Amino acid sequence: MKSLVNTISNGIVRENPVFRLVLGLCPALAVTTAAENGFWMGLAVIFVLTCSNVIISLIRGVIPSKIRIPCFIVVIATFVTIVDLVMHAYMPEMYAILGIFIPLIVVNCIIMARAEAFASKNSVLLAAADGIGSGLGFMIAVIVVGAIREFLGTGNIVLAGTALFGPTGLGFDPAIVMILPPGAFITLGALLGLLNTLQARSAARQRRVCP
Amino acid sequence: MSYILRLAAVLGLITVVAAGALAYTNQLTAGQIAAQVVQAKEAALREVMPDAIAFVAQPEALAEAQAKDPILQDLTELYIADGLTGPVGAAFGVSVTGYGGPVDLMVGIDKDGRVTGVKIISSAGETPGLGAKIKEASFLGQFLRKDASAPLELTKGPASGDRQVQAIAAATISSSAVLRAVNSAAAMYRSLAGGGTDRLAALKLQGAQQLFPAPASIMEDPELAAQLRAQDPDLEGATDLYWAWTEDTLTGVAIAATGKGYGGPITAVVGFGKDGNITGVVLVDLAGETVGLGTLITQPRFINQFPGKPASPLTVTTGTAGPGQVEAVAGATVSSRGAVEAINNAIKLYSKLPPRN
Repeated sequence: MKSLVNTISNGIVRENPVFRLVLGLCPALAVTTAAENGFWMGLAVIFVLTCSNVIISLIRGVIPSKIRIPCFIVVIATFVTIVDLVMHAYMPEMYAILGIFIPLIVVNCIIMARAEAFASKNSVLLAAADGIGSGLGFMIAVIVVGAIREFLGTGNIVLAGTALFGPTGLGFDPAIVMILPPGAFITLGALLGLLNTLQARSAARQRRVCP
Repeated sequence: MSYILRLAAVLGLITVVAAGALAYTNQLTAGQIAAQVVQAKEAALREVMPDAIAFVAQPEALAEAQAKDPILQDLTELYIADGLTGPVGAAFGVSVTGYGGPVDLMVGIDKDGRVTGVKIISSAGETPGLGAKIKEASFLGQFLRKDASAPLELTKGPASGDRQVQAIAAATISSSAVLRAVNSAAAMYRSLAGGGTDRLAALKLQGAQQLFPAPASIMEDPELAAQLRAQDPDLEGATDLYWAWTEDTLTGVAIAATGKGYGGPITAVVGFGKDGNITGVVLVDLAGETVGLGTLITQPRFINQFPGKPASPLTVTTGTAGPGQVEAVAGATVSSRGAVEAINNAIKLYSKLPPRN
């Protein structure tokens, strides 16, 4: 049980796919024009990541090493297509919001990376935990980036139709560049720099504590 | 060898299972997805024409109108909206290219020629916070009650007058995509309502008669025109063919064709003499051109460049015209190009005519 919790928290903090492993940058840059987009995208990725991790872990004994990549891709693409069809049929508003980004999950490096680095080498339960953890880490990352970009770029954050800061926002003139591509790079770069600094400081403190 | 077979077998098995799972999911969801699309469309129709109680799709009428006028290619659907006592208007499905992909809209126009509603059905490629604002009522509301009898214009500043709509700041491309869509719907409406095509047909015949006045008599030849157009899709801009007979001799040919002007199609009738040169050009429809600028193409200094030119494609220049060129009207280059496009389409059909004595 402890190792399950450990695995999940690993995906969220120590090996956060976006902020620590620097994977899955395409959706992290493209989808994050609004915080809400990040939430729904994150949910789709958690589902695909967990399911594909489970299946790959289940069949890890029979996949020959030489063709493991095509096998992973077939599994991942199948789950992404299932998510796409189910969302289109039963969650049309969410589907309309995410649009092209759902099929793009197939080429999301995070899923391939976790399949190769973890799921193909661990038990089903651990693989599932890793899927949930990495997916949550991705979702938190894109929500944070999306919230920053949306707030600075439009002056407000809109969740489920309601504007968090009131109908007129906080009254400052938003920097539109934040919701355009340059803003994505600026935000992500700044966050990575901040997290790297924090990690370096915490490592330095740990060294001082140990004799 | 058997190692390769094992690889193939494992991969094949995985793909077969995957295909099975996908086929099963598809079967489960296909009906629901199709129902979603229909529901979204019906909701859009009701939203743009709130007074209607039923909508009747008219795919044949749409295809017919699109065959006659290539400018209407953006339209995807046509519905006649019926109220309690009869038709109350029409709804048009339009698909245009926006900033980052297609934008699908539904436009409603009532039988008085006023826009009753514009709804964006999908605009996934537009940037949130910028182009995506075209979905907001503050932008789309500007189109309500606008007259569909002439094209609308986009301005960056506040709209002045009934023909203008203000674009969304920093989202000009998305805004002008919506404008093009509404103008296409209005053009389709005009061609449906008030016998618009009959009026145009009369004007074209009049143009041919102007080019070959009495004692010549004009004979329309729709069968040959349709036959040549069916054989060559390149000829879709040329719409009508007229023979000019004086007594028993063929004195010339007049061809009506359209080109893409500034705010709509430009229809021209071009006369060709027995020597194979252009005898004259009459512009019969330029409703979309800006009054005072684009409409200057009817002036002699532009129109009189054509008589005497041989029947081979012409280009437009803004400087002094050389052989095979005509000079554009200053400040109306797009309208000039549209007129020359129509004339070139007429020339194309002329060159395909079978030789006659």
